[in-house]
This record gives sequence, C-alpha cells and structure tokens, in this order.
Amino acid sequence: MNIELLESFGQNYPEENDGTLDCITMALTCAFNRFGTLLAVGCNDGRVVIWDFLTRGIAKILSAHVHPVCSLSWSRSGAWLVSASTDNSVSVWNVLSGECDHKFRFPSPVLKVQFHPRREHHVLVCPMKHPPVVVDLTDGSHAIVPTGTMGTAGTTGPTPAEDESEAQVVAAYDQRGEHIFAGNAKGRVTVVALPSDKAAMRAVTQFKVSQQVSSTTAIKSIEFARKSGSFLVNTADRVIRVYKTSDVLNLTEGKDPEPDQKLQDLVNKTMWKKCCFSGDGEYVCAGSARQHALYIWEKATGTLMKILHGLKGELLADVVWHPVRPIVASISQGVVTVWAQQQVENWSAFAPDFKELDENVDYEERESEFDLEDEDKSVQLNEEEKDDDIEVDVANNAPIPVFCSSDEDEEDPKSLLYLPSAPDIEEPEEHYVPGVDGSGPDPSLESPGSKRGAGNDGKDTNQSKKKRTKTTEINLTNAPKDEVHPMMAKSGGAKDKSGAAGKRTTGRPKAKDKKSK
Amino acid sequence: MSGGLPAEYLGRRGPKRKLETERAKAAAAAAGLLAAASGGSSGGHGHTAGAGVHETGGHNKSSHHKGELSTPSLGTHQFPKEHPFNRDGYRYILAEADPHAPFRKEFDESVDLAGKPIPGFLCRVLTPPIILLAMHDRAPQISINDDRLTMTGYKFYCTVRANHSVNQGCWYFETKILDFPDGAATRIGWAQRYANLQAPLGFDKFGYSVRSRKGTKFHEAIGRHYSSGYQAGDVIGCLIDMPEKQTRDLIPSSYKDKPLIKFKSHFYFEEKDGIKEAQKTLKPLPGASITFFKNGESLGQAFTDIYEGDYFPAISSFRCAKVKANFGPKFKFPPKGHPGVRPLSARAEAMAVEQSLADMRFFAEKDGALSLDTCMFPSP
Repeated sequence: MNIELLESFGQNYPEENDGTLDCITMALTCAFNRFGTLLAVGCNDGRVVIWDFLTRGIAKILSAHVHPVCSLSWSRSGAWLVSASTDNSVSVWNVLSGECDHKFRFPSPVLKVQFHPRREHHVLVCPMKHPPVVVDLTDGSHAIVPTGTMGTAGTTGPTPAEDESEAQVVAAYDQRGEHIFAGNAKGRVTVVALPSDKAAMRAVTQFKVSQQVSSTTAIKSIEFARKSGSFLVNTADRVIRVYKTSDVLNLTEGKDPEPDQKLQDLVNKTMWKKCCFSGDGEYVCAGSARQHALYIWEKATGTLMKILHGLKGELLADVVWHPVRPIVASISQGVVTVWAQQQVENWSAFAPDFKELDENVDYEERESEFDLEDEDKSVQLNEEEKDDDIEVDVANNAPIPVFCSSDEDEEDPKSLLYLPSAPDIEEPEEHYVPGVDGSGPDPSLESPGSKRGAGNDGKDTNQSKKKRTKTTEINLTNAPKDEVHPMMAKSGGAKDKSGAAGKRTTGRPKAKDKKSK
Repeated sequence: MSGGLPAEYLGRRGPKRKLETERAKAAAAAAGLLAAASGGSSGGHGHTAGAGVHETGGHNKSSHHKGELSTPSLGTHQFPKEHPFNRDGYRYILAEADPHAPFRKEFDESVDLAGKPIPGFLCRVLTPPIILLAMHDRAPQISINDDRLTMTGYKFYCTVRANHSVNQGCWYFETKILDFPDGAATRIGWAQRYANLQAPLGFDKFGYSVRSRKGTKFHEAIGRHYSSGYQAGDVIGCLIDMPEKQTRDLIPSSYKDKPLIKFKSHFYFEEKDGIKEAQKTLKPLPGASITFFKNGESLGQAFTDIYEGDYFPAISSFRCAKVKANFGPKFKFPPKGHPGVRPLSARAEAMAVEQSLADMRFFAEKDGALSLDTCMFPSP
C-alpha cells in the first residue's frame, strides 16, 4: 500500500473507533512491528496472536507461554519477537517459523522486554526490583545496566543499588539504541551509554524529573519517539514530561533539564497507565489508568487535541501508536480496539486530472471542445499540453521513506513485513492420525496451560519434533525471589486477601479460574 | 416498433363511435373524392390530375376529413407547440392526412380496425409553405423567437437547421449576428440532415461552417485558415453551388412506408436515422462548392467538391450568441458574381412539388400492394 497516498494533511491523529480485533482470549499487551504491518498481541492464556494489520486477520498464533504474556517487543527487522510472561520467563521467537529460539528464566518477575533498536541480538529486560539487564542472544550472556547513584565526580562507575525503592527501575533504549534511559522509583533518570564493542556500559548522566523527593515522582515508564528525538517520562505524579534527548545528553553537571512539555489532565487528575508517541513523534498519546480513555496531545504545543472514549466501565491495559499511520491500538477488557481517522475516499489521488466536486457544477465547454485540429488555435494551448507528460519511473523500486530510519536511505532488505498465509485445508480429517491422540503422552501429564494453547490444529506435535529451544537460567544476585508479578498480584492476591483490589479487576480472576481447570 | 418515442405514441385507431362514422361518410361523399380511394388498381393514377401539388398552407382547408386522421390546423408560421425533437437516432417528420391515399373511405368507415396502427400511406409529409428555422430539427437547448428566424444559443455549442434543404443549383441565405455575449461564438454554414445538433456545425462529415473567431472554416472537426472573422452586427452570407445534373435520385423520400406516430394530436413519420450507412456512402460531388460572404464581400470559396446530399442552412451558437437568419428573397447584401443564384425562400414551393412527386411515385410503385390490414410496412 502506498502510504503517501494515505496521508491526510492536517490532522494526523486518530479520531474514531475503527473496530476491534478479537483474539478469543483476553488480550493484555500488544506491539506493532517497525513497519506497522503486523501487530503482536499477548494474551492471558500465554498465546501471542500476530495480526496482519492490513487485512485485520490473524496471521499466526504462537503458543508462547503458559502464563499471561506481559510484554512484547519486535526486533528491528521484524524477524524476531521477544515475549515476557508472568512466570518470569522471556522467550525469543522466530516469527516466520513460529519456533522459540531462546528461552530465559529469571528469578524475579519481568516487567518489560525490549529489543535493541538496531542490534538484532540484544534485548533489554526489566526485572522487578532489580536493575535492568541486557541479554545477548548470541551466547545467552547478560549484563546488568548500571543505574545506581553516580559518584560525585560524575565519571566513576556506579555503585549497585542498595535501597529497594531505588532498585525498582524501568528502562528503555533511546531512538537508535546508543543509550539506555533508566528511571527509578525516586524520580531519577540515569542515562547509560552503550558501547558499540564489548566494553562495559557506563552511566553518562543522571537527573531528577522533579525536585520533590517523594514517592509520587516514581517513574512508571520511559518511552522514546521513533522520530524527532524526544522521549517522555510517565511518573506517578500524573504528569507526563516530554524531553529532548539532546538536552538531556548535553546536560551540565548537577542541573536538571526542563521538560519541553508537561502533559496532564488538570480536570480529572488522571493517572496514566501507558503513554506513547505517534509514529512521526508529533503527538503524545496517553491511556488513562481508570477508564478506557485515550488523551492525545500535540507535542510541539502541548495542546490536548482529542480524547477518545471507549465504553464506560472498561479498564485500559495497553496502548500503542501505529509506527507509520495515524492509528492507535488500545487494549481494554481483553479486546484490542483500533482507533483511526475517518477514511475519506480520495480517488483523485489515482488520477490527478480527476476533480472531485461537492456539488454539481455545470461543465464549461470550451469553444474548441469538438475540434480535432485548428490552424488558428492560440499558441499557448500547445504549451499546456507539453506539461502533461511526466516520466514515471516504473523500473526502479524506490524505498518507502517512512520505513527508513532518519539516518538511512535504504530499506533493510532482510525485513519481514508480512507473514505468508498457508491455504486453508478443506478437510482436516484427512490428515488426522488416530494414533497421536490415543497413544501419545497422557494428556493428564501435560501442564494444563500448554494443552490449552495447543488447540486442535496439531501445532504442538509439530513443535515437539523441531530443534530444542536453548534455555538459559539467568541468575541475578540481589534479585528478589518468589515475587508475584504485579499484573498477577492484583488478581492472585484478591483470592487470599479478598481485598479491594480484587473488586476492581473482576475480569481477571475469572480468566485465571478457567485456565487452572 | 422500437421507436424513439414510447409505443403508446404509435398512431392507433381509437374505438369508433357511430355518429362519427356517419359524419365522415357524409363529408367524404360531399367532397366527391371517393374516386381517389375507390379502386386500388386505378387509384394510383387517378389523383395525379386532381391534386398535383400539395395544398401548401396545410390541410386546414380539407375540412371534409373529420375522421381519425384529422389534426388541428396550423398557420403558415406555426408548428405544433409540443412536438418530438429529432434526437437519439430518430427523426420525426410532421405529417398530415393524405387526401389522395387509397382506402381513405374504407378506413374512415371501418370499425374493426380499432387499436391497430394507422398505415403510413394514409398520410403525407406536411411541406412547410415558407422556409424558417425548424422547430423540431434543432438542439432543444436553442430557443427560437416567434418569427422563427431568430435563434439564441445556449452555454455550449448546439445547432439548428432550417426546415428546407437544397440539393442542386445555386442557393443563398444570409445571417445577421445580433448579439455576442462575452466569450460567445458562432459557426454558420450548411448541414446535411444527419449533422450532429449537439455539436458545432462542421464537427462531422455532414456540415461545413465558418467560425466567428478568426474566421476559421470547419469541416470534420478540422479548422483551416479562411478569413479574418466576424463580430456582432456583421452579415454573413452563405452560398452553396451544386451542379444541376447529378447521378443520384433527387426526389425526396415520401416517408409513406415509415411508421406513423401520433404526438399531441399531430401525426409524424418516425424514421430511424442511418448515420453510419450515410457516412459510408458519402461521396464528393465534383463541382459543388460553398462560399461565404461577409457584409457582401466574398471571402472566397471555402469548400469545394463537397459531399453530395441535401443541404440545410444551419447555425451553431456558443455561449448564447444570437443570430437572425434571412432566407430572402430580399437580402441586405445580394451575392455578387453568382448568376443564377436563388434565394432560399424560393425553395419552399419547389419542395412541395418534389414532395408530391415522391408521393405519386410511392403510390405508383405500390399500386395494388397496399391494403389497410397488411401493409403497414410494405415489403419493397
């Protein structure tokens, strides 16, 4: 599809509900690939559903985990997908084959995973109550991102985090993966430079988002724009601060940078569940933590442009902006809702001389309308005709600008934009082998989760024949053991404590009950 | 009949009331014209002596036909107010009851023909007594004044023809440009009956014209240098010169073998136009030429060896240009240097003679083959 033709001038943010994507099971998190062609949705039953976003159809289902999927990230080429589950495992998937390439087990719950924006083999993992970890997929090695308080000299190496509140760290790669920005529960952001070689990471600068030292400035998330060199920090004080990356990197010692914009809902004092930038970095979208409502601000002016409301009583789980087009996908009550602009058919884009009219207009016939030839014709008319011919290059494949990074001219030839779709088998009974089900391993021995994920399309039996997945245990010193993932804590705790938290999220315990049957 | 007009317009006999039949019989007897319809064998020649020429001026005099075929009378300048237009591949020719047709009495008296189409041979072409701009042979967008000589165009090019054509000899008419609104233009000249009315004159093979802008001459949509153009107030003369001796048959069609339709109490012959066939059979007529005049000055021969055929005076107007035609006999600028030139006004009488000749020939050829029941479309 030609994205330039789809671009509407002026408004570049979604305005209305454009339908939903139903994954059958509860959706929890989602992520677009770098081109916006595929959308991976992580579900409550551990499956990852990959949607072809052009056709809005399911392209592939990965039975990724047995526990709910809490975070997803695509690699730059789109060939790999990393998923984190609430059972403290992180898996790396070959999207084309649907095979699990790597599996990592962490001692503590994993809050977030993110592929390096440029390197296909580096994954940033944010375990709970532990500094972030960069995992190298080539050898399964890992390195802890130094996020502790920097020495007074500013150049010495950081000390390991000692305070528990300091240890609660969220992190993100910057636009091109040259730095990791990590924020802790005390509102401090540490910028860590990533050396291109194997040298150790080192913190280059640190700042606080607010001078108030209180728990309200705890950093909930850091998000980078794909373009425009900005990032936002979502803190517990209900303010989204938008910074310029260059401002922060060129920070003079001891000074805190002024945010470009401070975005907040002054009326409702909304807490933000999830924030993101638009594909072009011109807009910031934030999802409310209390209801299914999406706020869209213009980044340059800080003006609130639009509030998109879902149904009443829905709770928002995740929100992502399409990397190329003005489309937002939000997850609420386990269903992916797509928000888009009203589609106005623009046929004149296909025929430049085709004029669209709102009202009927009488055609003004030219005096020469019927003449094939006129020796007395004015000369000017001839020149007009010459302008009509423009050579269109149909031989060369021009790169699509939006798919190229700002510092690149060419598209990555290895990128995986679409998944091939196998033709539907009309009569699956023909391939049904009676022995598999009966003489196979006793179903009762299998974990209930994997049985659920397998479905009846024989995917599980296929996977068992394939090469074994490399499983790596990641041992982290100081990492808290036996912690419950925060996503599960609400529902899991509800049963034991029957606290108020359980009432607020009535949807999840049900799903969990079903799963354990 | 898949004509241009819906089938209900087909001229059909209504249910006959007795009183009417009686009256018609009486009228026919009084007129003493029973001979014309008395016998199929001798009828063809019988009426030639009695009525050689159409009674120009319409059939209002023939009040003795009060039957099915009677139509409202029309003045010399009149044309039925509501009438079908020549368009969409069909042409309509105003007809009147033919007093010389065979079986007239039987037709008026018979009662069992109710609801059946009226045979075309019972009518004849109504030849207009004077030459005017045609009401039905124009683009409907064109408005024509009551004098039927002044026309006002529309936003785009459309064309009007006169009601008589010429096919041999030297003929002349002139037009005066009355009003040229901003951007207006005209193309004036000669057109055959199949020239497209929704296009400027000279768009197809059937028309020859000179344009007001830059005086360009047009034929088959190709413009060639010709003169310096004309403006409002100018008088443009159009002269056509065709050899007297031609190989083709110059007698017009009688249309009597065409279906007859009744539209708003008037009869019309309906003819499917044969543009494609006509285009194929077009052949140049050596020695024929068209010359234009501007305020009496000849602009030189514009077209020579034009296609042979019947040529009507025609005017195309663009952006509401207003033009008045003068078909003679008094011209503002009589053409010089063309001895034997006749004003187009002289054509009406000749046309009536030719039309009568055509009718006579039809009856002679179809002698004995005509009947009220079968010969709606007599086989040739």
